[in-house]
Amino acid sequence: MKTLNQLFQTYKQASWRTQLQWIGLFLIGLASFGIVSAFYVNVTAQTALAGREIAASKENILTMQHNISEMESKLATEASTQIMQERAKALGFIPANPEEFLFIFVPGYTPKPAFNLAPKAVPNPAPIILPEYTESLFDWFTSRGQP
Amino acid sequence: MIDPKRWRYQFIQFILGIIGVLIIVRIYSYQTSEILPQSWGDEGEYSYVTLSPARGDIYDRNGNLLAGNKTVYEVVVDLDTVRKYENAEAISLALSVNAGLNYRDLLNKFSNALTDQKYLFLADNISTDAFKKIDAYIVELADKPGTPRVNTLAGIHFKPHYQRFYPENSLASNILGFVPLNNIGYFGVEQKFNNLLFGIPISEWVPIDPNRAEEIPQVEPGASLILTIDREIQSSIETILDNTLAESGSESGTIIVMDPRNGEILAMTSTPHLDLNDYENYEINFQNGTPFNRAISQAYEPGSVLKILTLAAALDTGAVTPETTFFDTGSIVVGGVALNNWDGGAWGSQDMLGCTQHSLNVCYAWIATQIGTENFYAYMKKFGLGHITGIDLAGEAEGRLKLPGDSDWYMVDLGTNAFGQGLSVTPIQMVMAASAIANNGKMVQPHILYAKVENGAQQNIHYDIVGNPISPETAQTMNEILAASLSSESYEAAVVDGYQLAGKTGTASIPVFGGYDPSFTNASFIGWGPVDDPRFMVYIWLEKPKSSTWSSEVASPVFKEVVEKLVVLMGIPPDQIRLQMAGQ
Repeated sequence: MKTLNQLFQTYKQASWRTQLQWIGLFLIGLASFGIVSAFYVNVTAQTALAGREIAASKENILTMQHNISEMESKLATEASTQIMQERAKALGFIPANPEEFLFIFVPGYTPKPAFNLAPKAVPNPAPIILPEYTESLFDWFTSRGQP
Repeated sequence: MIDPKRWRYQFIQFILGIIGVLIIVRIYSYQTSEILPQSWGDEGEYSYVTLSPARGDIYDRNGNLLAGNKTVYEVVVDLDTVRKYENAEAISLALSVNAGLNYRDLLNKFSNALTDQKYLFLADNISTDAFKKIDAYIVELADKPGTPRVNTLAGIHFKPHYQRFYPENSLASNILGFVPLNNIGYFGVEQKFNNLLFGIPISEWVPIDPNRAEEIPQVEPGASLILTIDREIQSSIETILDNTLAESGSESGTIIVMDPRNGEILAMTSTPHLDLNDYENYEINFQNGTPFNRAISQAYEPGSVLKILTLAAALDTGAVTPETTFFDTGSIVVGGVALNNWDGGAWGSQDMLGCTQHSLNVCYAWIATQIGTENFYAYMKKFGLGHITGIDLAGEAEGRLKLPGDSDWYMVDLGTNAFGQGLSVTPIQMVMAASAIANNGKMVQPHILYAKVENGAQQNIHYDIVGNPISPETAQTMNEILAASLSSESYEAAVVDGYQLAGKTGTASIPVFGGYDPSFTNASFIGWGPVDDPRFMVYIWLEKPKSSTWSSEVASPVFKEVVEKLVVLMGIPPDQIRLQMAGQ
C-alpha cells in the first residue's frame, strides 16, 4: 500500500514522466509491430513468389508436354511406313528379292539388342519447394536428429 | 530492504512471460491443427480437381510409334467480353477460315446462348496448326492498338488436351483398336490394356490462390506398351492381303505371322481395316456384326488344315506310323454316313504322306477311327480347340468343338472333324495348336505384348509353354511328312526356293442352313519354316474366293509371297547358307 502511494505521489509530482513512458511504450509497441510485420511481409512475399513460380512452371510443363507429344506425332507421321516407302521409291530404291541378298559370315557380330524404351536412370530431381515451407517444427527436429 | 523499483522488473517479466506463453500456444496450434479439406473447399480457398494422365503410347517391337497422343484444343468464349466487343462474327470467321468450322453454325451458337450465360463452348479437336494461326492473329492484333473492337478476337480461349493419334492410320488397325473422345479403348490392344494405358488419375485439393506455395502433384502418364508386332512385316502382309482380295475376289481375308518358338505375333491382319484416326467410320466399315479382327474373333470350319492335328494325334497315340498304308476306295462310312474325298475319286493304296499330299478325306476319317473317339477328342482338347487361346487381345472367340455326349454330336462327326469339317476354330487357335508341331511338341501361348514401360522401367513379358500335346518325336515326324508333302507337285505354288518349309492347305465347305454351300469355300493354308529351326508360322484364310475355290490355287501362292517377304525382312538366309554359317 505504501509502494502504491509512493507511485501515485511520484507521478503527481512529475506528470511528464507518465507521458514519456507512454510514448516510450507506444514506440516499443510500434517497433515490435513493425519488425513482426516486416518478417511477415517478407515471408508472405517469398511464399507468393514461390506460388507464382509453381503456377508458371506448371504451365510450362504442360505446354512442353503438349509440344513434345505434338512433335512425336509429327515425327512418327514423317517416319510412317507409307511415307518412308514413298520417299524410298522417290529416291530410286526398289524392294529386294530373296535371291538378291548376299549373306556374309561376320565373326564376332552380335545382333542388335532388343528394343528398350525405358529412359536411363536419373537421380530424383530436387523438390521445387524447399522443405522449410512445408515441414513442421517436429519434422525439422526429426530431420536434425537424424545422423 | 525492498527495492522500490522492483515492481518495474516484475511488470516487464510478467509481460514477457505472457508473450512467451502466447508464442508457445501459437507454435503448438500450428503443429497440431488439422484443417479438413472440406473446410478448404467451403472457404473457397481450394478446389478439388482430378488430374488425368496422358494415355500411354504403343510401339512395335522396333520402337516405331503405332499409337500416341497429339495435342488438340477446345475453344471456349467469354460471352461477357464478346457482348462488350460485339465480335462474335470475327471469332466465327477466324475459326471458320483457320479450322474449317462452319461459319453459320458458329454464329448460331452465339445467337442461341442464354442472356445470362457466362461461357460458351464453341468447338473441340482444333488442330495445333489451326490454333497457332489464330494465336498468331491475336498477337498481331495486339500490336495494332487502333483495331476496331468488332474485329478483335477478345474473349476467345483455347484449352489444350490430348487426343489419340495413330501415325500409321490403318496399319495394324485390327490389332490396335481405337480410342474415341471418352478416352476408353475399344477392341484390340486399346481395349485389352485400357487400364494400363489409361494410367492412374490423381484427385487432390489444390489451392485456387496462386500465391499459395504448394507443390502440385505430377501425374504419371499411363504405361506405354511395346508389342511383338514388326511394322515392316505387318505392312507387307497387309499389302499382300489387300492385293490377294482384289485378285481372288474373296469376301474377306486373314493372315497371321507368329514366331512358333515363343508365340510372339509378328503380324496379324484381317479385313476390313479401319483408319483409326477416323474411327467414326467404324459402323460403316464393320456392318452386320462383322468382327473387328477375324483372326481371333471369327470361328469357321477350317477344312483340311486341321488334318495336321489329326495325323499328329494318330502318330502320338501309335494308331498309325508314317509307313501305315490305307487303301482308298473313295468312300468310307462313319456313323452310318458315307464320306468322300474332295474330288470324289478313289486314290488306292496310300501311306500317310500320300494321304496328306493328296489331302484325302476318306483316309483321314479312317485315321480318326483308328485313334478312337475318346483319344481323338482328348487330343483336340489338348491342342486347345473349343477354348480361347488367351491371346492378349479383346474379343477372342472360342469356336466350337462338339464332344461325344453333346446333344448335337453324332458318330459321323468323328469322321468329318478329322478333316476339319463339323467343328469351328479361329485362325489363332489353329496357329497355337500347330505351334506344338513346329516347336518340338511344345505348344506356345500366342501373344501380342512384348513389354510394358511404367514409371521409367521396362518390364519384358515372358510367357510359359501352355502344353505339350504331342511328343518331340511325333513333332519331328510330322515336320518331315509336312515338309515332304509341301515339296510335292501338289504344293508347287507354295514352294520357296532355298528354304525347306512345312505346310498344309485347307479347302473347306461353308455350312449354310440345311447343308453346305455348293458354290463357295473357305481357302486356308498353314505353314512354317525353316523346318529345322522354325522362325515363322504363317496362317492364311481367304473367305469365299471367286477366282478359284481351291486353297492350293488361291492360298498357296499367298503363302509363298508372304514367306518371300519374311525371309528378307527377318534376314533368314537360305538353308544351305544358314547351315554353312552355323558350322563356322
